[in-house]
Amino acid sequence: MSLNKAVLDIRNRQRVKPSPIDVPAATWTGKDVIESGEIDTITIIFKTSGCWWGKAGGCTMCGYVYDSAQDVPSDDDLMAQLEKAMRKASDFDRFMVKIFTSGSFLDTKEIPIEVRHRILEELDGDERIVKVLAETRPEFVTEENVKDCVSVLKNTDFEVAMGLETSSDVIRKQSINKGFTFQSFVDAAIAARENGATVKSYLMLKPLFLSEKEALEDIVQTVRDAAEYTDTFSINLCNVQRGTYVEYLWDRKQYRPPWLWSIVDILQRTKKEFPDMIITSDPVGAGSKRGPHNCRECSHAVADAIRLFSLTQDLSCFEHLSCGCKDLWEQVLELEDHTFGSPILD
Amino acid sequence: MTRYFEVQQRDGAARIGKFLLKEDIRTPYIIDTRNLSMPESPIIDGGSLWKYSSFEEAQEHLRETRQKAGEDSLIMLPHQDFTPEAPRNVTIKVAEKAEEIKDSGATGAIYIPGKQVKKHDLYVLEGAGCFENNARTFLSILLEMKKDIAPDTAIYAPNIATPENLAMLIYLGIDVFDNTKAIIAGYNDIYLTTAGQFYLDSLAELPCRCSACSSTNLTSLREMDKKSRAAILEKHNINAMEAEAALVRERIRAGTLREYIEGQCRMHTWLTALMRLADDEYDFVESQNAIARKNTLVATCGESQNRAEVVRFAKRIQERYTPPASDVLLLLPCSARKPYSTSNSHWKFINALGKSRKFVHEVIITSPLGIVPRELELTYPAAHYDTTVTGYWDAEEKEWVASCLENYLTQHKYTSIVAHVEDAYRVICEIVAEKLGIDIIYTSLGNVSSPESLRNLSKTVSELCTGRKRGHEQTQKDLMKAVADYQFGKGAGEILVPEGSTVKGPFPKHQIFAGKKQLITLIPQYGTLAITIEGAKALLKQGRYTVKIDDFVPRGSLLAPGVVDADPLIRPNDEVIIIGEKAIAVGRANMNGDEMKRSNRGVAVDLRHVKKLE
Repeated sequence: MSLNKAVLDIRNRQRVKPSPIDVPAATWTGKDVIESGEIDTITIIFKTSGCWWGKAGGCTMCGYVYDSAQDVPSDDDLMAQLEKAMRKASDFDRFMVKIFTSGSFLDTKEIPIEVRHRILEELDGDERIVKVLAETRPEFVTEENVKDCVSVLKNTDFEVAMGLETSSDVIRKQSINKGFTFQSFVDAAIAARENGATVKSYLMLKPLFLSEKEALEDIVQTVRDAAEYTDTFSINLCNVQRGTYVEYLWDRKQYRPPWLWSIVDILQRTKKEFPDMIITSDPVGAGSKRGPHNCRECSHAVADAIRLFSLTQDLSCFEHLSCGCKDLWEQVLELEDHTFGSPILD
Repeated sequence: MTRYFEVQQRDGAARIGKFLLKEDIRTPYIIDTRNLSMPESPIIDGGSLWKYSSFEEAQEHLRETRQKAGEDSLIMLPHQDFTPEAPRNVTIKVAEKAEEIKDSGATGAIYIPGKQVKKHDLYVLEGAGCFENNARTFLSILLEMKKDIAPDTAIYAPNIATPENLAMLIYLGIDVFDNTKAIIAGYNDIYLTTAGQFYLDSLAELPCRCSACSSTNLTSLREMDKKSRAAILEKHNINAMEAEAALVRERIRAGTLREYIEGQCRMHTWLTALMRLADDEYDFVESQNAIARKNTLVATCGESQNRAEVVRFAKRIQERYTPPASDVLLLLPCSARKPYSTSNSHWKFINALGKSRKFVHEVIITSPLGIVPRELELTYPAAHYDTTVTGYWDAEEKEWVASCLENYLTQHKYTSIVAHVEDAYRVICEIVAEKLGIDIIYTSLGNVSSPESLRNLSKTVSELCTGRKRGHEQTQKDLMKAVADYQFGKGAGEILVPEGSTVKGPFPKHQIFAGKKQLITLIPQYGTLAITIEGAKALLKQGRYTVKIDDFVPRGSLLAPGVVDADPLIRPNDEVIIIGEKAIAVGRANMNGDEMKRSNRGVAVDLRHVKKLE
């Protein structure tokens, strides 16, 4: 059985509750940091026909595939989703729009080109919006596609976001099953930047099968490898999503989500090495069993520090953090390199 | 070929071995996990392939490590680990690719089920740490691994050992462990003992007197800063594990590990499950168990009757034993003193039988062995077991013993059956009699040794004794024949106690002579036979229990690499015949036949007689 087949088997077993197709999968507001500083954001998860890669199996940690629509949404359904989502931004004076589809915004099978134009035109028309970010797999980041978006967004910045996860092709293939190479990311990033867009790279801590330290060092190395192709890094901390291969192994005590101390260490080291780079991390689900966690006592405080750093890019956020479990984490870093295929659980 | 590891002593699947590295390492061994990345250590982890961008890089790192470490350190070759439930053919494919990385000295590798094994000195049970509490999966992978790799290869189970489970893991045949769990427990404020784990806050005193625990007390331990406390707990946890390892090694040397784990496994459900499931793997366990030992087999729990030695004894009675020519069967209860015939109660039975004894065949009913024909009362474990006696027999005990008796009575017919038994023994006889529709005459009148009962036995038997009878020498020969068949298989008795042979020596040190040539001697402490060269020559035609060697004359002991072929029926301590073009010899097996064939190191047979062939 290949890794992809293993993922697909789980996908096929998973039951998905039907939901209306003219409502977005999710929408929320938040804050982010761009070159000019902190800014309000609205995140829209479009309910499309779904990620082509995810439908064929897809990534071991991705549960977003279940957010896609059961029936193919019409163009009007998609526009209705936008309209409903944007209501949440009605109070904002100046903000950024982050578009996700649980797949690729630039895949015309998910978002037909006419709909893409209508969405971007509408956002461009809203003068409060300073920047639009759209997530996509790199195979859709072509010169043509980027030019197309940038030409519609006349007065608004455009950022292409890609889930690179790691610069290691071995890990991306044999642990994550992402289905592209570092080179394809590089090509996409160059295409984006040469045609007037900026690039945001999502990285993932920690992939299946890796020790805590291997995963930590992999992210540090990835930041080094990808820095010249990206404007911003966002480091996602793996949380155990339902219906994923990660969940399957986690259930069987064969995976532990990352320690929050690991991401603190990563942020400190990479920010020092690349002071001008925006490096963020949103510790979703921090402190829970399924999410990144330290011990019960400190998880929430450490997660808050990570969020604060992500907005301020100020390393002093981490200065006063300490907890007895940090010693344990240090032991895990040392010992988990020699457990030969079993994680050190709490 | 394993060049750096040798098994020196065995107790069932458990073993004491030695790594011949820059320093000799005795197994079972607990690696200090932190030393695995140090090139000066005797055992080194070559590292994970997840972190290298290319195999060239990994190869280069390995070359550097080997250079620093020298040829006589064992390096576990670079590996890309997956957890146990990762797709098999991904792990196989990745592992096959990793074989491009070459090394020259002592090496270890990850065992991947389904992938062809090479000849490393050590194999790692990948993801062992995931199997805690999962007895079934753990055992099935371990057995698959044992089947695949050479028997003189060390097995390392990482990130699983604790003081509590160590004895069981060693019992199952694992040689190498590490202290990862002990360290992590220390940092989690967990205090490990052989009787399970305790959170430090739940303890009222420190139940240990090791150096770490003696250096402090509970109050100061609790008040200490986290780091210092963790250091002491870690030290204690490791001490507890080392102490347990030393105790288990002693048990292996003494040959009594089974008795220990029958108690120790009660500390955790999964350990008890491991014992029961392993007992169910009869072929695996039996093949490793010595045919005879000097030790007492102590049966203290229900699982004792599932021991390979007990089951094997019953199977051999069924498959190899032929009763002497008698028409009357007398069933007797067992006695605490062994062999039974030296006990008070059996003396009384024998006296009561008087001259009628020539007409009867005696079979003893007992738990947990089932039934023991008088001829085999000396043979391990019949004269070597001790069991908890309360007068109460549980249902499984009764069922097991009844099934042994039932099998026997189905196979062998008598004109009359007398049972001089009481209580549970009688219940068992009644169950079997009813099931088979046969009559059993009961002679005991409330107490088997009372004068009335004995008189009744005497009277009953003398009335029945009209059929075939056996003389004194024939009875001795019947004993020798029965032991020969038990030991070498059906038919061996006819060969080793041939027509016209004579018996010499007092009970139980009988010897059989064919003319002036001695063929066999009974060794009282094991109740097994030693054969002479003449006996070996006679037995050779049967083709069993032979070890084939090349054209050389062995001396002292036969080493495993000298073995060309060996009968897979051979068990440790079996009497074996060594045959090659230049010599015939007899000796005692030190390992089983399969291990002789597949090992490259270690003593296969301790020789007793060697004769050059012209």
